[in-house]
Amino acid sequence: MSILLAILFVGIIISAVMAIEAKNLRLSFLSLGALGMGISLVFLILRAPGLAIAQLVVMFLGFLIFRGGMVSMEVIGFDEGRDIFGLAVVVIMIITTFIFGLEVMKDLPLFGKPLLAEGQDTVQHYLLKYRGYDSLGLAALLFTAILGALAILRKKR
Amino acid sequence: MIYALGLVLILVGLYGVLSKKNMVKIIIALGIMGYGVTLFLALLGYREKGTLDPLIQALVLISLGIGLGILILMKSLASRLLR
Repeated sequence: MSILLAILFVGIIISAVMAIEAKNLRLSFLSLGALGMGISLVFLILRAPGLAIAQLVVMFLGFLIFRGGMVSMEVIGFDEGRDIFGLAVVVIMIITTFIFGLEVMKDLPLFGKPLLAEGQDTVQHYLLKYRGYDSLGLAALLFTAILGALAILRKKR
Repeated sequence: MIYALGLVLILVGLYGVLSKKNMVKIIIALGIMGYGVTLFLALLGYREKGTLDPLIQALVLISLGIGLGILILMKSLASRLLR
């Protein structure tokens, strides 16, 4: 299993880098789709099939959203220009964050042995008991987001 | 260290947000950051026996839904800017 996970992780990181560094947006969207598919497979390996299906649905919806007006989107952005100093600062900051993040991760529980054992946590108990309200809130949130998008995209008369 | 994958995805997204000029690329990078957080949570809740931790499943499901909502709003704001 760990070999399979390692192969998937390499693929996920490559597609993430490609999604950001691709020359045109078409390739970028395709890489984002590959990334979502890889994460769905990871969920499946971690034995959470419900999450895998939800991830697939989210990935396809995101793909459909970005599909419209994709070509015209190439124009949006600030004025181009190389900024070497800014790029260097960004890279140094990211490397520092990575090193400190690795240090912090040594304190986490081992992989496969989470802190939460089954039936011990009160929050978990109540959250599972009221799962229906949870899903209702999620649906309300998606509905609100779509209403907001429609309000933004409304044409002026 | 298997949890480092989430960290790497978050940092790749951070690099994209900070260094790219195109607005759509920035939106994609924010999406990648969200994926990284989701994956980190899922890896944290893995149990050797049985399914993934139910609390983590509920959290990740909500996180996916909110991510999609944010993506829709950002996309519509970006196309509003185009007009």
